[in-house]
Amino acid sequence: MIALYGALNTLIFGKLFAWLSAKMRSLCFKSFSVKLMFRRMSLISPELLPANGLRSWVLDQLRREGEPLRWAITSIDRSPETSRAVLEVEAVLIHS
Amino acid sequence: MTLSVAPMPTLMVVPTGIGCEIGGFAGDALPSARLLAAASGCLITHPNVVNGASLYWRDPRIHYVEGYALDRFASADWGLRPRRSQRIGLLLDSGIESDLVVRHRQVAEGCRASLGLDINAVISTDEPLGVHLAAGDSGTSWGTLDRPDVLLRAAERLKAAGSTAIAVVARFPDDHTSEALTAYRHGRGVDVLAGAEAVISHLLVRHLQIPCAHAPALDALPLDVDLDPRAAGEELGYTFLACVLVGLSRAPDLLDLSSDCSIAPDDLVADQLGAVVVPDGALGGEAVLACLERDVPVITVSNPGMLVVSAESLGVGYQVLKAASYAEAAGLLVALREGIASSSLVRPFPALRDLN
Repeated sequence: MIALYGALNTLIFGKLFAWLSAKMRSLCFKSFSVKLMFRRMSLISPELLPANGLRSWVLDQLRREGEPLRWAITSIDRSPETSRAVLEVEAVLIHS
Repeated sequence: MTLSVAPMPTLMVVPTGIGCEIGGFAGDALPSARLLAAASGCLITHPNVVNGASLYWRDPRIHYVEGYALDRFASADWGLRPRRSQRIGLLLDSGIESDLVVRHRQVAEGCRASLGLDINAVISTDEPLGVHLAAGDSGTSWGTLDRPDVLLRAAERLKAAGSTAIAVVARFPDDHTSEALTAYRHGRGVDVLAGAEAVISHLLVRHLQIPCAHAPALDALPLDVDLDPRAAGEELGYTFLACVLVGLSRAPDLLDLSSDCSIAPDDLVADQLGAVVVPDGALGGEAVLACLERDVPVITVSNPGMLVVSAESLGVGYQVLKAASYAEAAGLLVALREGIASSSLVRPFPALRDLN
């Protein structure tokens, strides 16, 4: 009986202590409100956008949805009639 | 042959999780990286290229830079400062089972005892990170976390305790019977874990601006006698951690160039880049696009993967140097380093352009 009481005590107070220290830690260290979102987007590039302007243009488009963490253009389909291109972009964005 | 000229900082990118024939497995681009390091004298590359789980290689000419930092470096936002050693903190996902935690702690202790690495602290997250795997329409691997806040909080505690680099181990979902895993072990398809791994390390590096790299925690796989040699590094031990600790141990510091930090003679900045070497279908990543912005010579290598974002599809076919293999790319690097025009090396000999 005493052993059972001791085990229960350890269990309850052990859990309580772990919970309290986690709470203390979250008070001592900044709490973050961060969400990650995986997105696929089809973007139509403006006419005559040179390759050296592509990165900043894609980043501007992604920033409308969140803060880009990791992204890549995964396919490019160029229209033979115009100088526009359809870019498929996959990205993980941060929402904070 | 003696290379008499100064090292030529070169970026090597094999994007993570796109199933490249070379570099899509367990550090199997490492021999190519060593060759490019010898040719350039200074190679900046990311963990996916050189991490072989239980297998690793140290070369002072290779700078181990996580992908987010690599993008910032290529974009000239951040610089790199070589270090003799980093003090590594080990961050463990509390979703890892106790036996597997012990295995990871033993790897850290082994690396301290046998390799002399400086590992100063270990921490478990307050709650499980909740890793989810995803696949893009392109077939490449991605992933997210339920609790990025918990990851960042634990990492901040390590940094506050004096860690200058962080090795993070997250519990990844086991699926021993999946077709994707079977294909990967037999040398086909995509590493389904790699995309989520990159997201975890990107998040940490973005937040803390110190070197970080990730190893997944998984149950050991059953023996497969048909295992592809390129995936073998991941089946030699119980963890994927040793290569990460070794890579981080001498990873360069990350310098924010927008602040007032002064640049030391040994620091590396994007203006010094002499070339970027990338698979010929993987030109759509941020680092390569940043190099195109800055007119850094691009060497594309035939290294098939899931993507076909080529120089032609970007409209820069005339601007890149094409190599059929990493051996050929190494030759092109030597030519660039020695100031030899690559057009002089091919036949038929290209005619002079007559502007009249």
